[in-house]
Amino acid sequence: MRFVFGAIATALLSGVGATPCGAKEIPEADLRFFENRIRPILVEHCYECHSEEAGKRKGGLWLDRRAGWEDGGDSGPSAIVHDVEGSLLIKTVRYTDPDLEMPPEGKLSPQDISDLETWVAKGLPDPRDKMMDESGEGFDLEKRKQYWSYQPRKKAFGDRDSIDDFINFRLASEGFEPLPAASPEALLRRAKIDLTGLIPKPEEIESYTANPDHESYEHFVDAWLGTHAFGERWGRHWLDIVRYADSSGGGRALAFPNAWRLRDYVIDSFADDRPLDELIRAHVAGDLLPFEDPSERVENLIATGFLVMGPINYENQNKDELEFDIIDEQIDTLGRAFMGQTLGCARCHDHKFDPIPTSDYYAMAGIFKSTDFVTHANVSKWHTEPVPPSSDAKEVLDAHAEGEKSFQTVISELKQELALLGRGAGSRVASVPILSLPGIVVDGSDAILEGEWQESTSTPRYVGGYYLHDLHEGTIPKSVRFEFELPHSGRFEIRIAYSAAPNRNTAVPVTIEGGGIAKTVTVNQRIRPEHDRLFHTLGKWEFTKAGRISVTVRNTPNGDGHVMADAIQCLSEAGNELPSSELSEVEKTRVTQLEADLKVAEASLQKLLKSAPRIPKAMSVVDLKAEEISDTEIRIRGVEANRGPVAPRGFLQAAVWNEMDRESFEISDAQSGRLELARWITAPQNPLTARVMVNRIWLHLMGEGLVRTADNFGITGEKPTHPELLDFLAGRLIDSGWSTKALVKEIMMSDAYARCSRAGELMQAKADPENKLYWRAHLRPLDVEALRDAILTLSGELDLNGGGPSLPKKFKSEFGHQFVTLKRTVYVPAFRNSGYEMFSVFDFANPNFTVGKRADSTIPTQALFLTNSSFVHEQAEKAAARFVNGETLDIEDTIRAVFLHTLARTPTAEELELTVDFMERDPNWETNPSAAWTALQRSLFGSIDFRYLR
Amino acid sequence: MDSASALALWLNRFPLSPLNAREPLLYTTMNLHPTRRSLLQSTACGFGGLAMSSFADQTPIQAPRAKRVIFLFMQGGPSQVDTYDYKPELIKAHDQTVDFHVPRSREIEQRTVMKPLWDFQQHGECGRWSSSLFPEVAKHVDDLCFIHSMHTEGVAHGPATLFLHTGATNLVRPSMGAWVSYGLGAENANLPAFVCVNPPANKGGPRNYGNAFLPAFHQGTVLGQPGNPNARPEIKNLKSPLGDDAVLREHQFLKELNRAQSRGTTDTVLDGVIHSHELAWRMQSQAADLIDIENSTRETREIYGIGDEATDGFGRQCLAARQLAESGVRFIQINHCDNSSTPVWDQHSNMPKHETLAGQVDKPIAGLLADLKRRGLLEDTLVWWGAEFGRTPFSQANQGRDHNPRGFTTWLAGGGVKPGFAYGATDEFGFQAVENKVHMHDLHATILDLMGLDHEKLTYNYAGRDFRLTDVHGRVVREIMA
Repeated sequence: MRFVFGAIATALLSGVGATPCGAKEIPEADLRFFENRIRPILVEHCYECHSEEAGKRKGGLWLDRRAGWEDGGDSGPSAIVHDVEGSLLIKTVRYTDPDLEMPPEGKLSPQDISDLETWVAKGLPDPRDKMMDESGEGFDLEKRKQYWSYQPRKKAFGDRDSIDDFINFRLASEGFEPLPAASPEALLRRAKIDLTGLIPKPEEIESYTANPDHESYEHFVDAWLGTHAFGERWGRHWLDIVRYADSSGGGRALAFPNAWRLRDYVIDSFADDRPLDELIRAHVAGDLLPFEDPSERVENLIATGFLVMGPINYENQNKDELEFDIIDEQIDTLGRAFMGQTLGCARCHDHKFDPIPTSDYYAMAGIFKSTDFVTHANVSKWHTEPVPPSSDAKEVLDAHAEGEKSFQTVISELKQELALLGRGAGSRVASVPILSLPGIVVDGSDAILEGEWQESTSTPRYVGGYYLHDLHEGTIPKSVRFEFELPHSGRFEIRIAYSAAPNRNTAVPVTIEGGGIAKTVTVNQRIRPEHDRLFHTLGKWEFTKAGRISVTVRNTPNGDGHVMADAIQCLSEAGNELPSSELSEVEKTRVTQLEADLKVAEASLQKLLKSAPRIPKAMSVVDLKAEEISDTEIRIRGVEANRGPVAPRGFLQAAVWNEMDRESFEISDAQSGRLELARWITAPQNPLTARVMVNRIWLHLMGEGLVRTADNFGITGEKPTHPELLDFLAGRLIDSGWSTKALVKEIMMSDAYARCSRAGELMQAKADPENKLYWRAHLRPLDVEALRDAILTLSGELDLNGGGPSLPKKFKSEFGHQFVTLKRTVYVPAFRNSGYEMFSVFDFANPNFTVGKRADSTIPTQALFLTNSSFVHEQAEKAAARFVNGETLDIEDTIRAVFLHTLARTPTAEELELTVDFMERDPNWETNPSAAWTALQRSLFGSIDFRYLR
Repeated sequence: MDSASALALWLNRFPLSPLNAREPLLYTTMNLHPTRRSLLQSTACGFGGLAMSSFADQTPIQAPRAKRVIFLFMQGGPSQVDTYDYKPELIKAHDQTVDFHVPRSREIEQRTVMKPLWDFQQHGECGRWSSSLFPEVAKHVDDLCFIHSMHTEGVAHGPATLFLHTGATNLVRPSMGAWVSYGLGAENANLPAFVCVNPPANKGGPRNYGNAFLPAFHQGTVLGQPGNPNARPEIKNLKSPLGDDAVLREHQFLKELNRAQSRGTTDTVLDGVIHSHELAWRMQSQAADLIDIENSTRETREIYGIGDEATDGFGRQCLAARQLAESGVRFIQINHCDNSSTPVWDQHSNMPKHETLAGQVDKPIAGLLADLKRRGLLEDTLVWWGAEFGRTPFSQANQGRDHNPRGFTTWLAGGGVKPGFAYGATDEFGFQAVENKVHMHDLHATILDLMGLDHEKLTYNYAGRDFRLTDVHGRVVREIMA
């Protein structure tokens, strides 16, 4: 990786044109200077982290050889011959930039610093001839692309044409005998839970066991495939990979009151068998997809909530960094979830193993950077879009909107008249009249310009007729000088107006001189000015004398964007005692009247707004405005402020294909490129996506993926156990129109799925303990959803009406949230900070990451929960009460019924005997039998055949 | 994961079956080779073999100087210039206007300097300074090692608190305690390696003691209740609502039922279920006594300030910390925090409140230091006092101070650090670290080093990348080591 940066560094260096001294040319005096003054500094303070001897090359920089500082490290060349001010080395040892201070343990002595300055001024004489170390493996895209997952899918498989053909072929060739089919009861329970997440009813078991043939099985499978519960089960699998949550995590764990819309969309998508390629396209670029009616448009917008569902610290005060953190999370999740790629690794350097160069990462970063996904504030917020309300809500909303509109009209009229009188500029006015502003205001039109400045009005809110910018010509020194007379000494606030936008310079020096003050303040012109979106406070100072004050805006040599200059304003802290425009007495009276009216109107509006019904919103993204769409620069070492060359927007080079119709994937200047990205991800030729999807579906039914690292199809992941089967099924998936249900059914109708799970003392168990050949069914635990739903089904408490908001209306914080809902577990809020107890105990998917396969731990807390928790005690009591209602029962018949309901089978003779014995030995059996029945129910909840699919 | 599950994971110490290990297998360098599996199957209890494979060759690189850490987290950021960073220039410049590079606005602003609200004095033989806020701790300065030149990332509490705990302001990363657990395991196999007593519920909440992508059993076990400084350390679902006889009968019935249901299989996961019930059963009687404050001697309770209204809550936490340390917990974090939106030590407008807060922790901390010392535990226990950042030397809203990540003080004591020592310095006003600067990454690296771990080698391969607590940063501050 560092070699690529080396190349960048060299590219940046070219044009500087300095020729460093070769060892031969060093005059004796300079050599002595180096040996006596410079080498000891380097050895003592720098070699620890930047020398071969120490085995460290931090920041990619060597300082134990001349070539080291010449080529430089990740931040570019360290020293430039004769250029003391321009040399990074000098900048870092001077400790002027808090992010670049070397050596880190403390500033060098003034003598050392001055020696280093002298060294640079002398032309950096350095006799150390060691070459740059170029050993180590470089980044070879073509070589890495040869890995199986980036290769085109295989499409011919001889005469093998079904899952069992592939599985049995392998088994036979390895000399393995597969296990027979599971018992009808076990198979039906497995099938129903796999399809719906619910346990079978006794009548279903009875019906199937009476006639356990293939047709009857298929009939059940088809019926369950058609239920909404299928959507709840398989939608939840999908929510695991899109890291669905009902709160943001991060410092404040902000609630996501609208996340449920995405959840319900996903559930409905699976219930309706929305094609997987369509689903992925909607997640990545729903807002850009064509639609036939408004409801489809709304669904598409809701789907993009995927991009803003991440765990983000919206408090981060460095908003550029925050944006990049969000983008990073989006890219990483998208890569893992849909393509099994660890793209996040390429944020700081080329991927260490996979064929993913940093430029590919930033090619995709440019796409997301051109997307509107966050609204900034002290605590920023994810983007939302309004969605249509229900018809009842609509009436209320309309009435309210009507009221709001009429107030707005009144206010706007009042403001317009006031603006004409030079007061209280309306916030919607693009150009703010100078007269309307208090204090001393100097507009750009009255400023003294040096160099060429462009007049512009294209980004609204500016003072006077226009604002100025420097055409982003950093190499030509330019300035705008605003001057005014300060009438008296005192404490004044100086403000600057500039037109903020993302392509602006982040460090514009503004110098304030005069009145006993000489200050330079740096302004980040990407940040919207805090005063009325117009002015930004440069500072408040004590001006010791009256007189001429100048405020000068300059451009910078290596500025990262346009430098803007609009106007400046000077306000007295002690009150408005500065001269401003004069009005006639009549005008003044009118102004007073207008201002009073405005006050009343605004207060009324505020009151109305406070009682406003909430406009329904969906978490979503949209493209930025066309002029804000652009490619982005590579960030060296992943540091936001450390810009390298621009990476044109695009996709993974490793996963483009030869016959790719490049035009249809061309990213236009007017759109972010998400649509093309989505189309590329879901193109049938994309070698990754269909394989990843097949694998995800397979593992939920078969216990393990054909690729066991479901979220990592890269070189550090595992290779497929059955590569041909994977490709065969990927082809089937695409041919079926990306139908989840078709693939689920195909797998479930196979013999491989239906096998018995009992390993026994067989030879196979010793030879293939991990069951990589699928000679038996994997033993799989019920996940937390199926477990909780099963317990609530048995207690009769389960509320099967799902959907809708997860959080109560007046939800304040997830901390202390009472999880009282009796809905299916998929509807229990998934908080990132204060999770539901059962979620943490029973391996719920960590909502911070894509989780293709959940952990399946077997830990004592699960046992404690199942034996001691109040939830289990209450539900067991209710479940038992459904069998025991005061009548005298036949103990054995009742035990059989309890087993059938709970385990979907009748007890074995041994179990029956154990249970009867347990019940009858209860000292209170005669007086209080229901306690014993509750104890039985509780014990069955803790039993293996309840907790596992056998 | 909640406290109960994390604790149980640790009482269990290791996952019970190979299937448990399967998930991390996807991501880690650890691998369950067939040989290990056979070992597992051939040993009576099986845990030994698995235990060996649960760590990624993280044997200490050197003899550790500290076997365990007690971290006293003062949430919100106590002011360095009012506690330990004595700045005579600041007193002289009181009420004057000075240029500061303000972290929040990221600009140079003129701000009015405010002198410390409490008097400073030199203490002990070493003559280190302490203000009158901490009179009891001041008696122990000869054991303390001050770092006056701390600096960190994050201006707001959330990012800075996460950075303090995980070395990252935004990305989800394992907590330092989880790294220690991963690197060293537990000193006592029957206890969790990482325990957090009454941790903050806000500002990152569980992420501050989370395992992120490390295996789940490295997560901090919460004793007590997040956000409740006075909660008693307890574990969920540890007590059955039933009587002892009924519990025993039901336990035995379930055991027999599960044996019947697992008959004819060799699936270790089913043995795992049976084992997990056995362990849960044992925990019900044993783990309840992990911390026993009520039965401590009156004298012990007295030195921790237990029983006095002001110091009772934190005193209990300190005594619990000592008991946990004594029992062999590796990383113990106790917390002076609550669940309000403004953290405890966050005095933006009311610096005098520092005095009330110091009054709640001063005696308990002094008691902890004294108790550890007399039991010989201070030699190999590293005590760490600190917060996510410090405060500005200039005033905010009259009598307050703002957040300051650019320079603040933390102190260490015991396990391998120089006693009565001070390292690094801020500028003349105590605003910005200027001399021998110690970044939070450096402090993390140093603490790991004291525990015998090389912060550059303590890595975990997650999804194709080796992660570290210190990312690509961190300098071990050898200068403070004894």
